[in-house]
Formats: sequence, C-alpha cells, structure tokens
Amino acid sequence: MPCKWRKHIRILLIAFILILTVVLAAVRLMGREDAGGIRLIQGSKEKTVDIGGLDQTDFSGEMVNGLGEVTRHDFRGAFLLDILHDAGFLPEGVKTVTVTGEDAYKAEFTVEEIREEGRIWLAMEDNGSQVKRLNGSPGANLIVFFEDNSRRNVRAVESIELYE
Amino acid sequence: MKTTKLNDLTCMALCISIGFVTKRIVTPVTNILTDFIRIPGGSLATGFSIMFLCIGVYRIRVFGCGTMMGLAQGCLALFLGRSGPQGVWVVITYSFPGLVIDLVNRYKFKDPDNFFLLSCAAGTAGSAVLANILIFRLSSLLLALWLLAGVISGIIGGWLGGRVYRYLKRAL
Repeated sequence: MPCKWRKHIRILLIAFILILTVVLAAVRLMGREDAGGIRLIQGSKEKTVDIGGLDQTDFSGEMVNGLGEVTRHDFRGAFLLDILHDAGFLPEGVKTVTVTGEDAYKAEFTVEEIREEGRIWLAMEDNGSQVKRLNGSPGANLIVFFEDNSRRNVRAVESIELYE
Repeated sequence: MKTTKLNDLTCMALCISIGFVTKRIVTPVTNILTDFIRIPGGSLATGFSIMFLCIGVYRIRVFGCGTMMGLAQGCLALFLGRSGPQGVWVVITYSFPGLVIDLVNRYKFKDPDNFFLLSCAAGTAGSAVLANILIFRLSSLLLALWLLAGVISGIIGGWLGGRVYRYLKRAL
C-alpha cells in the first residue's frame, strides 16, 4: 500500500477514535440524572435518600493516606448503618455492600464491617467545609475508620448497593 | 538474552524514573477532564508514562525489557505508597503494559512512528482493561469511555514518544 494512503488511514483511525469518544462522553453527560441524593439499591428495591434530610451528628477521627501521613478530621454526617435502617434497607441476609462514587470509584464492604460500631460513616462536612459533588451540589463522602490507608474512602457517594 | 551495556541500563533507569514522575505530574491535569465526564481518573494520564517505556524498548531492542521496566515502575509505586486504589495489584498493572510493548516490538516496523503509536496505545489500553478486571469493574458506557480514554492517551503518548526519541537518539 502506498505510504500516502497508510498515513491517511492512520489519521482516519485516530479521528474515528476521537469522534467516538466525544459522542460517548456526550451520551454519558446527557444521560446523567442528578437526583441530588444517594441511591440505595437492594435487588429490585431502590430508593433515593436526600442528603439534606439525614439526621447528622459530629464525629471525628484520624485518616491515613497512601503515604502513611496521618491527619485529624472533624466531620459532620451520619453513621451508614443508621442511614440504611432509616431507609428501610436492613442488612439481614445481606453479605456485601458496594459503595460507588460519582467518578465510578467503588469500595466493597462486608455486612460485618457495616455493623461495626463507629467504623463507616457518610460525611457531609469535613473540617467545616461542606462536601460537594462535581456539579457543586451538596454531596457526602464515605469515611472508613480503622484502616491502614484511605483506600476505601469514596468521594461524593452516588449509590450504595446491598448484595445477598 | 543479549548482554546489555551500561548505557542501556542507564537508559532503562531514566525511562523508568521519568515515566513514573511524568504520570504524577500529568494526572491532576487529566483528572479535570475525567472528573467532568465522571470516569475514574488515571487512564488518560497513563499514556504519558508508557511512552517512556516505548522509548526504552525501541532503544534497547531486548525482549522482556519493557516488562522489566514496567515491573520496576510498579515496585516504585508500591514502595513509595503511590499505588492508589490498586494496592498490591499495581505491580501487575504496571508490568502488563510493558509486556504488551514487548510483544508489539516483536514485529519489525519500518516507520518508528507506527511502533510508538501502536505500542503506546496498545499498552495503555491493556493497562486499562486489566485495571478494570482487577479493580474498577466498570460496565458498558463507562467501560467504553475508560478504554477510549486510555487509547487516546496512548496515541498522544506514542506521538510524543516518537518525537522525544528522535531528539534524544544521539544521547541515548
């Protein structure tokens, strides 16, 4: 094949990939439903919890990042197990819980970890600053204490799914 | 296996360290875009790291050196606490694109630009696929976007890698 055509094919292929990416990104952005809350899902049962309507309490603790640096945080939010109970999502029969952030980052927990006193929280405020989603609306971060690092913390929680 | 010279090993060490640092520098910038379309960050920056593996592989021409460079980067990330959500899997996710580049290098390319574009894109896409299988488990639209972001990153990285190689050819 002449070199000129090979160059054209290369350019066309790259252009196709770029156009496809832009189209899919547009579909992703247009299809996004900003319910403004957190979706709780268990099988066919689904409910959206309004972050602003949650009973919030102050809690604090130390967070360890990937570099081993320890920082102290004062949060305001709610215990995850209480949120699930109040929404009618009981962990009986549930084995794992997956929390997904708005950037599609996921963290998985066993139901025993969810039940552990003072371990897993949803924080709406961190050191006095309100947690916000990317679009600026109020959000909540998942905070997990008693871990070696903050790998299972989830930013701007979008959904919580319970699996039996 | 061919005995590598000291300057080959030096080249490998440079490519490993520069590639590792480049990803750290580029990631905050690319995260602006990935946060906007709400996909996990990382895949859009990986190409800028992998392009240095491609430079090293093209320069040294020994099968396995890409895998070794990727493994060294993974160990660096693990020991420096920069493994992110991947944890100990980071050693595998960094080695795999190196292996892909080694496999692409088995084919003799007449035009080095084609090697850099293909190897970098394939390496980045392979890294994205593996990260999805091991960690993210995205599906459908998100997965397609994640993979395409990796391929685009690989194309940009490959193009840059070819340019950088041309300028550094005499020094390397």
